[in-house]
Amino acid sequence: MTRSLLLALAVALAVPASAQSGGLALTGGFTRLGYDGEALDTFDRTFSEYYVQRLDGPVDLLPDHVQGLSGGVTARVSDGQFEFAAGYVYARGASDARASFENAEGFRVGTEAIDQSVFLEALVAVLPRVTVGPVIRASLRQSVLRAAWIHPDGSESVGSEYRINGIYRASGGSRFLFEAGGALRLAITDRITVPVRVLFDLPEPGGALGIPLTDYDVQSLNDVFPLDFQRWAADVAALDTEAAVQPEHLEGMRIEAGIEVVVLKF
Amino acid sequence: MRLSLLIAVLLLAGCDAFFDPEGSNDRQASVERLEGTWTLTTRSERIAYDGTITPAGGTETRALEVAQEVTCNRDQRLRAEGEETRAYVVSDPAAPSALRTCGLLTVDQDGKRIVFLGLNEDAAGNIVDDGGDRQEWHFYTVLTDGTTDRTIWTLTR
Repeated sequence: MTRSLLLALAVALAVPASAQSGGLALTGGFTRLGYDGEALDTFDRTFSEYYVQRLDGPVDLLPDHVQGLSGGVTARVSDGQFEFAAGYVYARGASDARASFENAEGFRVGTEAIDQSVFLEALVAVLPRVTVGPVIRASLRQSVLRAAWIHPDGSESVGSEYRINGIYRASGGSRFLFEAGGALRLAITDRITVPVRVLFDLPEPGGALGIPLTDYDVQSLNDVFPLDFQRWAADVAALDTEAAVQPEHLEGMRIEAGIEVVVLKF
Repeated sequence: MRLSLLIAVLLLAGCDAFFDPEGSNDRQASVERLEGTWTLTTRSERIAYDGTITPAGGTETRALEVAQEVTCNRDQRLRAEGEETRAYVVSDPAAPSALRTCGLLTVDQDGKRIVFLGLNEDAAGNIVDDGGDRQEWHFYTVLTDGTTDRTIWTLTR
């Protein structure tokens, strides 16, 4: 975060003195992080079919997005017509879903995505108080998938009584994401603005690694989380990485909106 | 100006709440907290299909030792080198060192599970109490008739 702040300040200070205004702002808001809903729906569909006799209806344990709050800091310079900004954003989104069986037993699946991002955006004024333009972003994404069984007495377990239970993470804990998209910024006052951004996940240089989310805290159990539950249930030892949830499945379009408050003008 | 300051303070307070207080050293600290000799009490409960809980079997008490370095298995000195998040568990510390039964355990990075690492299969339980003087671990076994056995390990010292 310190490095991002210094970068943002350096960018701002590097602008010639003729630039009319600039400032350092705090931001906070709402973030919607997209997942690969089509791929993840495979798990929901196969799980629902496998337990069709015990479930009331189809389940949605792995959603197509998560949402949560975000916060950060932005350095911005503007000459009235053009605007340039660099910043740091911390965002967290989480999902929590449960499949309930007829005897109050259940299967609970939660996902969590935590991003630490730096972004650059170049905006141009199109209307009074409104600027729009492209934005690029690099993020360090930490993805976690937690699967727990709920027993009839209500107790919840991530233990080894069911092999699918566990806490699954990306290899190395975090992955780099590169995104590009557009930003719109609406000035409410000279210090308070509302930024809205839509970003799309770019393909990774060299292609995806293909390493699935893995339960690294155990060494011979609960290795990966299945994408096709029926195929996994037929032979749990035969699951290959292509049939498992990969970090790429927990990445997609990002939408964020919030409020930006200038705390330091220069 | 006052409105800006108020919103800025709220944003700063919000940012602080976003960060996960768990650090990377927490897992190592959890394992270190387990080191030493404990009095282990085990008991079991049976959870029926409708959620009814009944005691199953009696209560057993014995000693248990957890250490980064132990002697067991033909006087072989074992040390979890470079594995600060793992420790040896000696299930019969009173036995002669060459005859002790030793295994490896770890605490997951969320501090939610105790994991006994096995050659072919791990046994993972839920950490219910994670104190320095008292620990409680719950291990579940699902039976073919739909009932569930919960084995409760209570460690005190």
